[in-house]
Amino acid sequence: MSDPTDPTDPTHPARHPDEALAGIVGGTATGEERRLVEAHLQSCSRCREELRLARSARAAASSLTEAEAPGLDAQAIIQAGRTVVPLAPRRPAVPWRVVAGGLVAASLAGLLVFGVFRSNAGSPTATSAAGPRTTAAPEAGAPGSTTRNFTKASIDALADALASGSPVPRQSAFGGNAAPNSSDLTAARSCAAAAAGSSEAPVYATRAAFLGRPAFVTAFPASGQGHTITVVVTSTTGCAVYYAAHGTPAVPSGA
Amino acid sequence: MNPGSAGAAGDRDLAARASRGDEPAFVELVRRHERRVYNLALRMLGRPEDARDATQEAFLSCYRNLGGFRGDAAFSTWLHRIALNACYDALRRRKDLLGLEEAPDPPPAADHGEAVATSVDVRRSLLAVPQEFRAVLVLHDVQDLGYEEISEILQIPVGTVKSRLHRARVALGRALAGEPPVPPRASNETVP
Repeated sequence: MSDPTDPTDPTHPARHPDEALAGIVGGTATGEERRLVEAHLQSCSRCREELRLARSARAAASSLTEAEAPGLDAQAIIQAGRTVVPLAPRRPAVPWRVVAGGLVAASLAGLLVFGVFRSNAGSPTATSAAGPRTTAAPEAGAPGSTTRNFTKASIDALADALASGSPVPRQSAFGGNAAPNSSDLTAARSCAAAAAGSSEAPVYATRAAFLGRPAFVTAFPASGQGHTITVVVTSTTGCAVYYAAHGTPAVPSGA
Repeated sequence: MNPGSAGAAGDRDLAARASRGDEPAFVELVRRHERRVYNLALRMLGRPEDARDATQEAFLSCYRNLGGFRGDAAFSTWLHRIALNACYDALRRRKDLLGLEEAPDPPPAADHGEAVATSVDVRRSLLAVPQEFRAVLVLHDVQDLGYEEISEILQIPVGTVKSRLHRARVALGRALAGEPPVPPRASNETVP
């Protein structure tokens, strides 16, 4: 029931009748709303202009056609939903400045550091919610590519999953996540091991993408400070560290 | 994603079965709804690859939270809410990344099935509409959902849905006309 004496009521004469205007444009306005708008427009040039804009917008938005379904792999989603452990409260990932500091020694030892976690090449792609990246977002120019595209959140989650002993296939749950060849892997291991400060053999390594850029993702056992796994993301050319994260085992429920 | 009552009842049954571990039931839910979820994400995010990621995240979240779906709302309403949250997360992270990368947001890439010049303008202009207003416009004017269902999805009153819709259309109209954006006025703002 409208109350024209209430300034917050849409029928109040001194109020811009946005709700009624939406109905006018969409064709759902009642007779009362139409009369209200007609009376208001007599004295409000702003609403007249906005009505014109809204009508053009409505026509434009309605002209958009539906895109085809992306063809998600529902079985892979089920698999990802089952294999990914619930995340423990998020700890800060390794700050890149710390990684950079750790790499000073590495660079002195002859490793070339191109840059740390900053690149102007390409554009960042979308990021995923917490949980290992399960998408197979194709990279530009590579239709059908199924390279796994990691984000900071998914690297964090991968570190947690590895630390918790969860099964993490080298092949992406969404397929096509090829392992690097031996020469690439050797260089990546050296770079990543220096960044992680680990002399252990990696427990996980894969060629992937990080924010749309080609990258190696390598995980090493770590020790101390409560974490057990360090995951390092490096470029595939030279030794640029894009990101690193520590993983700790999930606390069992009821603990 | 706006099925009739038979479809809604079917969705509820599928969701109940999926929550008990019936994988084919979840596969069917994805098959039924992925196109609508993807198109919602596409209009909210602009880039097809981002929309695909958000769609995937939405269904992953849906799968993990099926036990929390009690069936008091339509499954599609519940799924829309999850999908919008996935979009908001993606937009938030995009903003974080832009701050990090100091790179401008690239224009959205073309997708299929639209008259190129016009649709690119519309899709780009949509991104100029503030996200909480954009969501209402996409749900109503692109996805043809009613005020009541949008009210349920966004958990805001129907009157607020209508006023946001009008403000969103005005913002889109300004963007299409090449006018600078104007902060949406309060819904209860009065005539000076």
